[in-house]
Amino acid sequence: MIVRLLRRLLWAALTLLGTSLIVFLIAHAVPADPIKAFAGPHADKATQEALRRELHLDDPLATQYLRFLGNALRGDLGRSNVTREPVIEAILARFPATLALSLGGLLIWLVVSIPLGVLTAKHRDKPIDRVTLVLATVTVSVPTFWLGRMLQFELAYRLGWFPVAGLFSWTSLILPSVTLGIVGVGYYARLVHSNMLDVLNQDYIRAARARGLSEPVVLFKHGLRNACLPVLTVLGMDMAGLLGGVVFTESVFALPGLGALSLQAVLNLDVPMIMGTVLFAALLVVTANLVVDCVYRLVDPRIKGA
Amino acid sequence: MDRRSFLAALAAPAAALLPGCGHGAQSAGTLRLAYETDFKSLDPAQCFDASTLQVMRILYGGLLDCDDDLKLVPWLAAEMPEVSADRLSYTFTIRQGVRFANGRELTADDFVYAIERIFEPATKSVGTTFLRNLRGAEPFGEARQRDAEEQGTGRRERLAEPRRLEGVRALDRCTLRIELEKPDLAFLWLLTLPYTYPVPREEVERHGEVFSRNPCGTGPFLLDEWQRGQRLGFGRNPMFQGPARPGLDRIEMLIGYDLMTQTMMFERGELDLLNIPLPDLVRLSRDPRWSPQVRSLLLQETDFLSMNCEMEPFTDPRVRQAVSYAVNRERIVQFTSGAGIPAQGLVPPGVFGHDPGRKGYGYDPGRAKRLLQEAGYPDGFAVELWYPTDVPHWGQICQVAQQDLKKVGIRANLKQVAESIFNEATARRRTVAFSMYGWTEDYPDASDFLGTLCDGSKIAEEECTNASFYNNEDVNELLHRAAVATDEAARADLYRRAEDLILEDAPVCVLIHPKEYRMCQPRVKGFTLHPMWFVRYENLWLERA
Repeated sequence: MIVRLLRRLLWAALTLLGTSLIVFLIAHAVPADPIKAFAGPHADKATQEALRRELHLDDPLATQYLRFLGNALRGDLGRSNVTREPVIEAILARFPATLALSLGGLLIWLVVSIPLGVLTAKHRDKPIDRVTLVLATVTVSVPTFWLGRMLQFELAYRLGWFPVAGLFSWTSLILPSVTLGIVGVGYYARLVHSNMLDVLNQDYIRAARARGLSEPVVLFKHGLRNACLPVLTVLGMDMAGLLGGVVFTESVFALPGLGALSLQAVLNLDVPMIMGTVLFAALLVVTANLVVDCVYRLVDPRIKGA
Repeated sequence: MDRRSFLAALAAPAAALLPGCGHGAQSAGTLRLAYETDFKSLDPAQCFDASTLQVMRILYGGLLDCDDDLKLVPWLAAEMPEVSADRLSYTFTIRQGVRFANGRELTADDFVYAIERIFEPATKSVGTTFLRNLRGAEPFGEARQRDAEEQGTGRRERLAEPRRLEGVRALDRCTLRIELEKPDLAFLWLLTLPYTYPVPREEVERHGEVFSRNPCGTGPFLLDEWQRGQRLGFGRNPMFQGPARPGLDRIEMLIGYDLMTQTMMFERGELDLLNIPLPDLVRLSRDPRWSPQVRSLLLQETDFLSMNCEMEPFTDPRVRQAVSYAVNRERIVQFTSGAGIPAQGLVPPGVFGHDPGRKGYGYDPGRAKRLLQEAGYPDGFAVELWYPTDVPHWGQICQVAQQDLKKVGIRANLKQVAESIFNEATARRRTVAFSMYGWTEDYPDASDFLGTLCDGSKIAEEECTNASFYNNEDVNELLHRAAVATDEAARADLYRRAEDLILEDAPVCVLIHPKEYRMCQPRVKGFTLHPMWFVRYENLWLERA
């Protein structure tokens, strides 16, 4: 078990290393000078060169990358080229908002999709199944930013039920979480649905019913527990997609999270901030995958010894 | 960030979850507005964009200000300066009793310190571009560069000579003398820009690199909260000594809200001021609830199509003239819901050197076709038209121009690129043939337009503001003579003649002088738009319900 965990950790470290290298190369491949983006149109050559030296941007790319890597291993992601604030501080200051939004979205994914999936599997080919199938197709196809803008326009601007944007009270998180949640609900409802259909045809379900167990116990205790295993696997892989959705959702609802921070960093060509936010997001995804992996082993006794 | 602050940050959204906090609980004296992006720096030496300029006025002050009629008036100076007969020396008396927000009294030495600081590479200021004409600026700047190269980053001693900037001296606590290398009638305007605003040396040295986040000036407000990327809060400066106390208790600026979101928030009463997006202008102007609140301002800016005179087919002036005749400026104004007024020349109305009688290129597609035929392009030609992403309505303007150009046979393929890439590519020689461009005044003088955009002697391989790479010896000569002319009428005449020649050669196809539209909630009083500062927050007050 420990060897397996160590192997997983090694792969996680390699993933982070690869991510950092790719992002570093992409950030430097953009045909624009971050110094000019920072110093503005009036900066003369001497000022630009002084800035370049000050920020060590005149060093060879390999030196810059290795310096970044060495500092990152010590927990120092450098300072923003634009604001000069430590990148790690900026990330930690924004992380709570992103965490709150992600958890809100995830909660809606699971709380709505699981009962819906079970219900539609139980009532297969009935009107509720067909309506859910149509809704699931629509929600999976809708872009996050469009859905967010529509909800914002109708429910916040026209009806005034929620604040339009920003993070001022708990109500500020409802619309963004719903936006993020709806997109996943359709997909997960269908996933639970198809897994439940498989499970409900198994002998142990028939046996449970024969023993006279109530239908909710059969469905949720014996059926759902087994149907959820593939969902758990997909959930681990979907963490990256969730964070991608967070970027758009934060942008539409002006939430001060990591998405808005990384977007601003890209617009400013702020390489240390771009590197820091992407690496942090990669770390979150890798950690989530590790956690899912461990939980999977706890939930499914069959793979404990595998 | 230590563990405690991280936990506090983690608890912030949780605290926000408690009912009754924050939202909708504005105090009566708080003005709330929103911006799309955060400010990079609140150090006046590092300010270069329009939105930061407005905040500078809240926090700092300069020697001179400009009034509603665009006339220079004393600000931190007690009166207008004494000017020597040769127009090379300006002597200012500093207003007494003015204090920085830290309580220390302002002296003439603070101006000397602030201006010398601009030339220190560690300050990372773009202000040197504007202050090169100060006496001794060049050797002083070079000496500071040498110091930086020899001593590396961090705090540096001034070792290389000269150690002081010759052209800026404090004669006593209240008297400041500024001397120039060459006469420049536009010089006093430069003193309204933030680069010369006094900063207290002790605060700059105390905060070092992060002085940009800890401003300390003589303005009516002081920064009391800056959550990066989220919000800025400004409270009253108790040390402020101005003609009148500000009417607002507090200003809150929310960060990270796009224009569409800002508009919705404004209409829901969540914001007090709004920069109206053009797509919403007609709707809001016709809405009886909002129309009395709309204010407009003609910007001192010219938007134009820039044609690279060093690249085919724009090497031929007849092709450039054909483009100028082919574009219908009235249609651009209609199509963009009033983005501005049709431009006749490069120098906008209200700017020194503007010629109100100028008749520019009219819309004449027939003449454009004839010119193209004469130039050897009877079937027109295809060209890429570059425009940046950062100005929302430029895409629309380019589309109108594209349609007009197509009528005379010019097939312009629109190419939208990120702002940073656009700025770099268009400023590099022989790179971009055709681009959408705009220039906003730094100070209201023709030199800031014609000298910056059309002086052929300033053409460089990279970072060239003459984006058309236009070089006409006669124009250069007129611009150089105008720059040092000491007679206002003669100077205006020189600029007018230079602009005549430029428009005849047509390196640019001038399109519009843009307009700015803003609105305020009915409870906001004293709201007018100023040509240079846009909003002067110190004049606003809120009507209590």
